[in-house]
Amino acid sequence: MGFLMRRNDRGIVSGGVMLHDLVRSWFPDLTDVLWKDLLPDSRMHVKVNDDSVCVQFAFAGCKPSDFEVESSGTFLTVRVARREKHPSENGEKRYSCCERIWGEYQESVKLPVPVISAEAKAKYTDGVLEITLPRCKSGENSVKQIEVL
Amino acid sequence: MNGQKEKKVYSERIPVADIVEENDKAMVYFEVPGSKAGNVNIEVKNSILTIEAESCLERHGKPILYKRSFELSDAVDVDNIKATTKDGVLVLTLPKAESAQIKKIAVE
Repeated sequence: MGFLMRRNDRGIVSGGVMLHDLVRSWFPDLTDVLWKDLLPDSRMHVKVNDDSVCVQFAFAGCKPSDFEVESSGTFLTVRVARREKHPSENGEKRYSCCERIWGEYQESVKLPVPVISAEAKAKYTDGVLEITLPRCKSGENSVKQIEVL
Repeated sequence: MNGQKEKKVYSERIPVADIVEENDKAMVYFEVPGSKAGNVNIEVKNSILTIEAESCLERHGKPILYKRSFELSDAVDVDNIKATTKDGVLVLTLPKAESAQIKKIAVE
């Protein structure tokens, strides 16, 4: 990390399965419990409330206009494209460590209950996109009886 | 209750970081989504810089705590480190000590 940073405290952490396996082979004594904490988890977190479903998508350093949210049935997809320039692209700056995601990223989740997509609301605060979708009331979901002629 | 405050249990995460070096300083960008300036703690002890940021996000029923440490070299002017947060990104400005800055020498 150049002259300013000599090392970090817990080594390399990456979502890459191959790298994970490689590091794990170097430290075979580490337990699965520890690896569960070290591995990156989904950026999306779904909370089901009595009358709504709240989906939190953690993606720091963006603007609300960087996001695109799509809901189809019980599938919710969030796309994000960081449009600002990478700090290293300005002037004579150079980066010695680059772990943040630049460019495009997409993640989908299947919601556990039916929702009313048309009434969904989304808000971006402190690096967290929060999408609230009202739940379908009983008898209001999209099941439709089709008459056989 | 014995009057002691119960210790909060966190789900600890290592925040991803970008480090950008310039001639007179280095900028460190940590992603700490869900954290506000008031919930960030930064300390330097024995040349180890540690950042801790409590998030409003939860994993497995416990609030997330972003925590990461770096060992600083002597080239960093520790007394003038500055920190800001914006949109879930914690930005640290680490000025270089005078002696570590690149000086161009004119050839006569």
